[in-house]
Formats: sequence, structure tokens, C-alpha cells
Amino acid sequence: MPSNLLLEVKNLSVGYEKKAILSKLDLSISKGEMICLMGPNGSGKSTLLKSLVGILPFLEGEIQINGKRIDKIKQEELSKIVSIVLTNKGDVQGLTVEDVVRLGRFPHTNRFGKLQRSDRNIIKESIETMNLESIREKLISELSDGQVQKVFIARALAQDTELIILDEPTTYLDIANKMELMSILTNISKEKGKTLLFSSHDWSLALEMCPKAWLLDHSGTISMGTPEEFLFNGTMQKLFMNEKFFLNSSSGRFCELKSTPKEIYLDCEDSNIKYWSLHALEKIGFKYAEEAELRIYFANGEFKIEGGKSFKSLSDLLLRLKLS
Amino acid sequence: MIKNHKFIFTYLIFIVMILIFSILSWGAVKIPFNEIVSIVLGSNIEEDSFRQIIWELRLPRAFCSMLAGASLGLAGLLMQTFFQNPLAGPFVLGIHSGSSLAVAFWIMTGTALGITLPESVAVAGVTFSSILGGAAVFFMLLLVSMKIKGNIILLVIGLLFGYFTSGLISLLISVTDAQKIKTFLMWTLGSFQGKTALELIMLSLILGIGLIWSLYLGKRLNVLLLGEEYALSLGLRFKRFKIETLLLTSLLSGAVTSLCGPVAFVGIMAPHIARKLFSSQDHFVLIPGSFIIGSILCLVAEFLSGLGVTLVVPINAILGLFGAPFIVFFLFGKRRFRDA
Repeated sequence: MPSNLLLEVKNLSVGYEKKAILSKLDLSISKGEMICLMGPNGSGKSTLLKSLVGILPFLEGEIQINGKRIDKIKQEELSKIVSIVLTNKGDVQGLTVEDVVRLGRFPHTNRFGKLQRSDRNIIKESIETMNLESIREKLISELSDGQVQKVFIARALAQDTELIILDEPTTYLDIANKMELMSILTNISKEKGKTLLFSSHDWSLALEMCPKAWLLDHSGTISMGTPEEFLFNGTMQKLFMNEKFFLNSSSGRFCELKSTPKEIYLDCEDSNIKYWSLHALEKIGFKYAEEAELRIYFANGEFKIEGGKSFKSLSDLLLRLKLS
Repeated sequence: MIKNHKFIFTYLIFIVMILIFSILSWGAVKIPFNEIVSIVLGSNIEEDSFRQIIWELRLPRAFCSMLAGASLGLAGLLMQTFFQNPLAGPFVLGIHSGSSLAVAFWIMTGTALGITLPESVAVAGVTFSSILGGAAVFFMLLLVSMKIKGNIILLVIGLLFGYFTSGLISLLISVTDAQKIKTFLMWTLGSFQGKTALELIMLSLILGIGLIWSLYLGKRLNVLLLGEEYALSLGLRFKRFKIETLLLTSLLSGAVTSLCGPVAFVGIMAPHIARKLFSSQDHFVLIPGSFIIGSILCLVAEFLSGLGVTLVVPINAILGLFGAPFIVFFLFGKRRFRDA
């Protein structure tokens, strides 16, 4: 269905001053999709995203938005179709949250930036979507990194574009903020019907939150698919092949490569305690096996090695096993 | 505009009025308070010399300081936002040097060529060359800022350009007659005194245009705070914006420079004080803010310069004494400039 296509990229080369960083890209985004652009640091993710919004001229090929080539669309018109949240946040320390969000209305207001009722509504709505009502009048300099990021996303929402592009939105955020932000983004995509494209080098984030991903590898090619697909067809493992780590295709987690792990048996009724105890044991080079010689029993809050000592806590046990 | 801002503006306007009054009342001839009021209000008083002193000497001084300060405050604000550089200003970035050089050429080449121009053409020429010289430097800075990013580099280039122009000016001086040299040197000291009504009307017209035009640029200046990339992504037409800012800054700074000489540091100080005072970066607050704070700075400088009654200290001496430490304090205060 071509009518459902929002963005189409054909044979695109992007880079700075004639020097291509990525080339021969063929990509497409359909309306309403939420896509994660995955790739290692410094692989050219930002360069690609900036080219897609038209703030960095591309070198070769074609980018089409809604069937129109973006180099044929005026920047003023383009700014009503696509917005971007960058990693740099400008010099806005002295502006309030609302001031920054209001700047998103730039393409929609008159010369003096006078806000109409509809503009005010969109600003209010954007602030509410990002849960920023309580800090609406605070200065940017008073906010945490996570809050600033949310303000800039609210600004992009206020710009009211079909496609929102975000460059590394979760970098520098702690895990709680990361999860909150991702759930808000998922909401924006589902409830407001916005199309989202964001970059990340955080593989687990894409795996957990995104139905679709673009995977950028070292050779500069991008594969499109679902994160799970990349896991079971081995694309991910190949990309992250490393002497010290490997990607466990059943858990989707990175694991340290160890010389043959020792076998261990753990008997424990509480499945939660068993799971996490084994998790810890794996870190110091053990592997669960039913028939292992080394047998541990957990009862009454104590770990007991068969034919040996008891330990009051998991860390004591680990210390002992490490030494032996 | 927040309620608090209105309060600050009222305060500032009050300060301006006090300063104007101080300039009107201070001087070699002592004029009683109530007489000053009635003179300014236009009613007749017995002592005609009082009226002359107020209307022909002191009021033009006060008025000129106000206009010049406001223009420079605006020009400084525009430049700081435009270059995204808090150290920008017409004086430190060498816009004034460009004006000086052009004016020096205008004043001094006439003698070299042996031409004597009528008074009005000569004065108009000073204004024109001052604006043109300023614009040329601004354009050069524009080219440099596109190639090199970094706050300090732009400043260094401005300073180097200042040295370069003073070299050229010295060269010009060595081939010009004493009278013209004196005219030029007096001009470089900076002065708000002895301006004619016509000159002041000209300056107020330019300032009026400047104020309205700045407000017209306000929305775009605000969006530039986000940085060039965001501004582009929001649809800012950069080329046009650049040309408009270039024209406006050169016009404001050039007009003041042609009339009052290169007035130091007001352009860089006024926007900073405005930002601190209003704790805002919104240009619709900062434009009127820098306007009025620029006026206050120049009024204070003018008042201090006339404080000695018979001994008049040049404006730039006073502004230099305050302005240079201001920048040093600013550099120390901002951590992020230590590694810029």
C-alpha cells in the first residue's frame, strides 16, 4: 500500500562535506510505526537522522516524505511534517519549560510568534502528555537530564508533526527515567498516531519496547526487521561478535565468554530465589546441571553445600565458591 | 510578560528619569530644582540663560546618551544571540573598529586628495562610512563564524582586527594634517555632547526602526537559542535572517559610532544585565530590557563624565574602567568558558 508510506529513502548517501559516512541506503517508514535505529556509537546514526529532517544536506539519492522529495519541499513546510529531538539542547538555561515547548509552535505562528487558542491548546496538551504540568514554570537550568529530555520531546510534540525523530532519547537517563520515557513514547505512537523513529545503542531497550528496528552494522548497511528476528537469525550475534562477550540468543542478554563453566546443582523451592541465585552463579562461571557433583541446597534462608558448610547469604556462598 | 517583569520595567524607567534629572541639574551653573521642572515642561521663566543651558546643553547630552545606550544595548543583544556567543558585542568584536577605520578614511583622505566638502556632505559621509565599515566587519565575522566554532576565537579575531585597524589608522594619521587628526581623535574618545537637534532626530529615527525591527526578529532570535540545527528543523530561513541581523546591527551600531564615536562595552554589558535582572532569555523581554539598560549605562557614564564640572572625563575612560572588569568577572563566573 503506497498510500500508507510516510517516508521512503532510496539509494541514499549521507555524510559531511562530500565524505559519505553511510551510503546506498534503502529504507521506508509506514504511518504509525515506531522504529528503533540500532547501531554502535559513532556509526552514523545522528548523521542519518539529521539528513532525514533536512537539517543536514544529503550527498546522493532521494528522500521522500508523503511522496514528495524533501529537497523540493521548503524548510518551512518540512518543519510541519517532521520534527527532531537532538542530543544537544542549545543555550536555553534561562528559559522556562513552557517557553521551550512554545518554541515548537514556530512554524505555525505569525511573525511575532503570537499564539492563537489552538496553539495554546497544543502546548498545554504536549506538556500534559509528557507529565510536565508541575514544573511548567521552572527554568531549564533547574531540571534534571531526564526532565530536560522530556521538555524537548514536548517541544517536538508542540511542533505537531506526523513524524518525530529522536536522536538517542534515553542516553544519560537512569533506568527508571528510561522506562518512563519509553512508555510515554509508546503511548504517543499508539494514542496520538504519531510515527516515531529513534536511535539507540541500547540493544535491550529495542528488544523490550520496539516492534520494529533498523539495525546498522559496521559495514554501514541497515537491515530492517523486528528485534526478535535479528536475534534468532543471528544478525545480532554477528554484529556484536566479540572475544569477551556473546549475545545469548535465548535470553537476548549479553554474556561474558568463559572458559568451560563448572556444573552446579541448586535445589530451591522458591523459583524466584532459584532464578536469581543461578543468575549470580553464572556470573562467576557456573552452569546449572541436574547431575552436577557440586550440589547446593537452599532451606531456612541458608545455602548449604552438600557435605560441606552452610552460608547465611548468597554473597557468602559466592565468595566461598570463587576461592575454591 | 510576567507581572514581575512589569515591576522591573517600571523601576528601570524610574531610574532613567532620575539619571536624566541628575544630568540636567549637575554642572558649572547651578539651576534650582523647580526651575528645571518648569523649563522642561516648557513654561516661561525669568532667567533665559537657564533655559539655554538646559535645552541646548544638558538635555541634548542626556537625550544622546539615552539613544546611544539603547542602540548599543540592542545591537549587543542581537549579536550575542546571533553568534550564540555571550562575549559578542559591537565593541569587542571589532564592529566599532570597522566603523573607525571607515570614518578615518572619510575624514582624512579628503585632505590627501585636496578636496573640501560642504559641511552637510561631510557629516552624512561620516554616518554612512561608519555604518558601512561596521557592516563590513560584521560580514567578515559571519564568514569566520561559519568556519570556526568557539566563543573565544571570535573574540580574538575581533581584537586582532582592532589592532589591524589601528595600524592602518596610524598610517593614515602620519599623512594627514593636524586639524583633521584632532577631529578624528576627538571622535574616537567617545562623547555624547554637542549634538545638534537634527543629529539626535536622525539617531532616534534609526533607534525607532531598530526597536521595531528587533521585535520583528524576536521570534526568530528566540528559536535560535535552541541552536542552529533546531532552528533549521523548525523552518527558520537562515539566509534571510542573517542578512536582516547584519543590516540591523550595522545600522544601530554604525549610527551611534558615527555620532558619538566608538562607545565601549555598553553593547556587551547591557544584554547580560538584562538577562540577570529579568532572569529570562525571552527576546520579547530582553529587547526592551537591553534597550533600557543600555540607556541607563550610558546615562550613568555621561553623568560621571560630567561630575568633575570643569574637568570632563571621556566616556570611554569611564566605560573602560567598568566594562573591562565586568568581562573578566563574567569569564570567571562562567565555568563553561574555561575550556571554550
